Formats: sequence, C-alpha cells, structure tokens
Amino acid sequence: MAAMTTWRLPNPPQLLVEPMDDHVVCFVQATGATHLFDAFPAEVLAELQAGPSSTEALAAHLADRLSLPTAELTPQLAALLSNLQGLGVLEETVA
Amino acid sequence: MSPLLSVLAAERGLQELNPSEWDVVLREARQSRLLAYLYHRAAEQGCFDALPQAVQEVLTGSRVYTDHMHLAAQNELRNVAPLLAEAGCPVILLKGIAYQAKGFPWSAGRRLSDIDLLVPKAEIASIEAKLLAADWCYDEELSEYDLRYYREWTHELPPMRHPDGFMELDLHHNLIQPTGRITLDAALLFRAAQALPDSPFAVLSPPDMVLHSATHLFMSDELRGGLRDMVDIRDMLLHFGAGEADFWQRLVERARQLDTTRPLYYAVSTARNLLGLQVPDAVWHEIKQMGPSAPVARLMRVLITEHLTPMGTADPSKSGHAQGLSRWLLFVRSHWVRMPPLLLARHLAYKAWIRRGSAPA
Amino acid sequence: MKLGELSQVELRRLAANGGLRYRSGPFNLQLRTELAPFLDTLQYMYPGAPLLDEAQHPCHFHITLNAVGGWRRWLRPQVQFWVDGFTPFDPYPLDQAFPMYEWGLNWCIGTTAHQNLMLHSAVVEKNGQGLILPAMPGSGKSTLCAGLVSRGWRLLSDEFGILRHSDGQLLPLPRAAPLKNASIPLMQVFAPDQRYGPRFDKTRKGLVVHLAPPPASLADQDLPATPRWIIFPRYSDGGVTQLVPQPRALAFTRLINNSFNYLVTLEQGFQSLTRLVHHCDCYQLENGSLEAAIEAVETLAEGGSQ
Repeated sequence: MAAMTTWRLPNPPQLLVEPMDDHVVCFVQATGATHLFDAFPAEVLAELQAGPSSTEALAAHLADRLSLPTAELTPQLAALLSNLQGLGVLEETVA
Repeated sequence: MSPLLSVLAAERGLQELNPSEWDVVLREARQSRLLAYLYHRAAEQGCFDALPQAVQEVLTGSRVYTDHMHLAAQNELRNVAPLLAEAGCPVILLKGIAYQAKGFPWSAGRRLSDIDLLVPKAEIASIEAKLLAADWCYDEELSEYDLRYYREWTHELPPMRHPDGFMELDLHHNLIQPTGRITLDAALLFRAAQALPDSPFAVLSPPDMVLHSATHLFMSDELRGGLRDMVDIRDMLLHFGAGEADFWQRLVERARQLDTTRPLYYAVSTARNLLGLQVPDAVWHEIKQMGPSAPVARLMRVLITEHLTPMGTADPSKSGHAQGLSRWLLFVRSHWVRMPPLLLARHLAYKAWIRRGSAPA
Repeated sequence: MKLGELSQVELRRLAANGGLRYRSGPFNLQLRTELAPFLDTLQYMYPGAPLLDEAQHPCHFHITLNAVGGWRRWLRPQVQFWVDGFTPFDPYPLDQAFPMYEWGLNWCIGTTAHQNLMLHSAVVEKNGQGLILPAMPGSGKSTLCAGLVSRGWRLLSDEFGILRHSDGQLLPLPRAAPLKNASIPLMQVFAPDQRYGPRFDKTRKGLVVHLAPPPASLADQDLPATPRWIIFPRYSDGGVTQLVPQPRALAFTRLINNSFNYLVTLEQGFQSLTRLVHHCDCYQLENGSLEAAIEAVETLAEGGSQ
C-alpha cells in the first residue's frame, strides 16, 4: 500500500488556534508570528482541528461545503496547504 | 557592598532580601541588564512567588522581553542560515546566541541584543557581499571614518541589519583586534570548534568560549554593562568546571596557546573577588602567575571593582567625577593593549573631538 | 498619606533626598528632583496619589528629574530625565519639566512593563464595565475620553489600556491627560469644572495643557474593570455621528497594530488579546461632534438599541 500524506495541526502550545466569526487567528510559537485567515483557510483549519486529514479528504470536504467541483479546488488547496506548512501552521505526516 | 553583587556572589539568597534592599537590587540589575537573569535565579531557588509583588512584576516584564529577543534571534538566524551555508565555510556562533544554541541553563534570561558570528577572514568579503545583495545594510549614520576604522583596524565589520528584522548581525573574522599587542590565530579556534547538531553552525570549544568572553570584556572599550559579561564568565567557569574533570587544566593551557593569559587572569581573579567563584588552589596558583606585577594588579583590582559595581542609588544628575575617571583609565588601557601608540593617539584625539562637538551632555 | 497632604517644605525635602515614593495605578514610583515649580504642579495634578513607605514597597521605576549642569544652564536652562541612571531623551527646556516627566514615565512603562499586555488606548469605566478607546491617528480619543470622564465615567487611563494576563482585567493608570492645541479650549468650555494644569507653550507636541485625573478616579486606582466594549473613534468634523459594528477579526488586527507590546508578549499576548476581543462588542465610532459622540456611547452603555 502506498504511503499516504496527511496533514495535522501542531499541538498547543506550538500552535494556538482561535476562531473569530468566519475567520481564524493563529499563533505559531516557533516564530512568534500571528496569522489571520479568512473563510477558505479557516475552513481547512477547522476541519484539521477535528483531526488529521489528507489533501484528498480535505478537498472532498471543501467541495461539499463550498459547492465547488473538486477538480477546480484541488490545486488551490495544495498551494494553500504548502503555504500553511511554510508558516508553521500545519505539519505533514507520512502514514 | 552592592546588594546585587552579594546575591550574585550567592552570599545571600534572593528570599533573604527585604523590600528596601530589593528596591536597590532592582535598580542595580536594570543598570546591569540582569533583571531577567534574576527572574530565572529566583525561579530556580523556588522563591519567586514569595517575592514582593512589584519585584515579581519588574522581573517578569524583563523576562518576557528577553524571551522575545531570544525568539527574534532564532528567527533571524534561521533566515540568514541558507545564505551563510552558500558560503561553504564554517560559521561559529559567538556569545549570547551561542549560549542559547547550547541551551546553557544559566543563559536563560540573558539579554541578547545582536547576533555575533565568526567566519574565516578569507571569506568575510564574499559573505558581506552576499548579505548586502540580500538587502542587509549598514547603519546610515555611520560616517566614512567609522566604516574605514572598522575595516582597517578591527576584527569585525560594522553591524548589519535587515529591514524586516530587528537584530543586528556582527560578522567577525577574529576575536580581538589584529592591531593589538596580542594576536590570536583564528585558525586554532576553527579547529577546536564544536558542530551543533541539526544546524549549519558551530560554537567555540568551552575553553575558547571563556577566553573569548574574557578578552572581549577586558580588552574592549565597552565599559558599560560589564557586570553582565562578568556574570557570563563566572557561570561558564562554574558550569564547565563542574562538568569536565580536566576543564581547568585545558583552559590554562589554551590561554597560553592563544596568548590570552592576561585576560584570563583578570577574568578569573575578578570572578573570585566579586562573584565568589571557587577556583581549585593549584589552578589559581598557576593563573595568578599570569597577572601583572603586584602594584599594577592592586590598582587594576580597584579600577575593575569600581567599574563593575553598579551605580545603585547614587544621584545620576550628580554622578561623581571619580567613577568617570576610572572608566576613562580603563578605556585608555584597553586601547593601549589593542592599538599601536601612534594610531591610539589619533583615535583618542578624534573621539575627544567628537565628544566636544556632540549634543550637550 | 496622600501626596496632597504634604507641606510644600516636606515635599521638597523628600524629593530632593530621593525619598518621594507614590503609587500610580499598578506602579510604584520613586522620584528625585530639586525642581520646586515642577513639584508644585505634580502635587496640584495628583493630590490623591498615595505615598509609599520605603520599607514596604520596592519601586517599579526610579526617576530623577533635574536641571542639567554646566555653563549652558545660564544661557538656556534645561532639564534631564534619568531612569535607573539612563537618559533616554535629549534634555527639554527647564520650564517643561512636567510634560517631560509624564512622557518619560510613559516611555518607561511602554518599553518595560511587559508583564501586562499594553494597548495604546484610553480606557474609561461605568458600572464596572470597561470601554476601550484605541488611539488611531486623528481619532480624537483623548477628547472623547476627557468628555466621558467629565460626564461621570471613571478614568482608567488616557494612554494605556493595561490588560492583566491572569484574568483579562483592565488595570487603571489614572494620570494627567495632555490636551493639545485646539482640544484645550474645547475641553475648557465643555468641562469647566475639571482641574487643568499650567500651559506649556511650544512643547514638541505644540501647546499642551494637562487635565488632572478626577479625585474619584485616583481614589479607585486599585480597582480593575472588566472590558466590555472596544470603540475605535474616528473624528470627522461636523459629520454624522454613528456607531458601526466592527468584525472581531478586524478589531483584533487593529488592536495588534495599536499595541505597545503585543509582539513582545508572544503567546500570552495572543491569549489575552483573543480573550479581550471575544468578551467585547467592537464598534467604529464615526464622531461628528463631542456631544453627539458622548450621547451615542452612553446610549450603548445603557443597553439602548444601535
């Protein structure tokens, strides 16, 4: 079986996540930076707060929530995930 | 005696100070950049929660600021690491950033205001060029004289700063100024350096770390804030001395090899006199031989003690002439060690002129 | 004992010997000065400030304010500000000692008191509920703050929104509020019963007159307030006055930029600021006139509809 990449949020206190209306604010301990995310990334973070997930599963969930075709959404999601990883908001795990 | 010195020398525990003594200690520790240091010592001694509320608040405020600066330094170092790695040469972290990288317990709470790096002299120009190309820049206020002075006569480049960061980066190619009577072969430092795990950087070996701090303090014109550096040295000596059986012997041998016996003498004798450091008898006997003649040693002890003792409760608007004079003498002495006499005379004349021409004191 | 209860002779003697210690909000201050006119102003502005006993209270800040020596003093007398031996500023003209002391103390607090989160805001309180008025350029927060205080709101601070991390409470720091230029005659007409200090012409911020903290605010300086509203004032001369709800995320980012030390306080700052924003209703106040602005705020505070 092929290795599957999943994404997860670092545990507090490495990452503090605080929903704020339809936005999310995050504090990343490693850099001391605070980030504000609007609805699309906020949805991703809310989903990952429930537990680790793969890019595919996240795409399916978002397509459902935002009523968008999965194929259109996946490249944007991949770019977002890699951005969030660069900020220290997400971690990649290979299961 | 200064109450700060008495607690630093561990003659008294922090919980033994009464509120009016604390009032003096807070002042002295702020002057000496040691407030956050005291925060961590109080936490170690388990007495923080029993301290007067104002003391807890002042120490905490400084601890918070210091934590922030430590994080800022890590961020800056992470940002500059790929660029330095490109140079393909060893890069040694110096002073505060090195203590932090090694995680020395006594360095928690140590104030950090810049990042000091040591690189081979042959590489410093190309590293400087890479930094300038990546938007690092020099202080605009530096005059032509300053820039030329750094390049021609010192062991470092002027401090550089990145517009997005708020820490200065100091690139050194040696630990002491090459024009002084003491010369130091930097290649020996690189050979003894210790690589850091999971990092492109290295740190000096323990004896070299001590000798660097000792030369930095006793051969520099940074007369202000010397007590903090003296505490560094004392804590390093305690830490390394307790950890490695042959540390003291290696330190003494290394001082001879690097031709830094005189700074080692001043560092160890001052740590004994002011900060209660215990040195094994045989070692102290050997280090004592590294000092100047007895009358000079006595004079220097007075000057150093006066210089390192915080001003405490004295009225700063009427600060005594004596302390200023003593500082001036030390300043002259440190330059006398570093510069040939003719150059020294020119530099002093220039500095004196700058003083006269500057804003009202 | 209070600062106002000292005789002039006693006050000068204490201050000259470095023994004048008093409490200002959460801070213990020690002041050394030989400047008699400055001491008169200090006593006039803070008669209710409690004096501290040296044997009991270590001080957060030790400040010296004295004339600068040398031949220049005869030509152009100047005053210097020392905190623990440092001189963070160039000297001021001697007759501006009081503004220098106030600004110098602000600098000390803003750059070192990182045990709390500090917003650059005015804070007032009514019925135990705190109102934060962040200082944005051109906001007119000082005027609005002074106006509310003259209508019976308790002054916590004209300059510092101090949030205690442990419980999110706002700590009072009732100090003299520096009114500048056009707001001086405005306030003196609007609130003639308040106590105003001497005129300081040609300071670095123009003409300045200080509004003393009301005695009741000073008396309650140990009493924190629970944050309830954040109102970002924006002054537009003669415009329509209205309160516009602000999205929390927007208020959050505006407060970060408005803070003295959010970046320094790291995760504690994040936790305190998110808690603050969650517990408060956030508004922008389009402020057309002082009277209308006060009315809008009072209606909000009384639970009226917006």
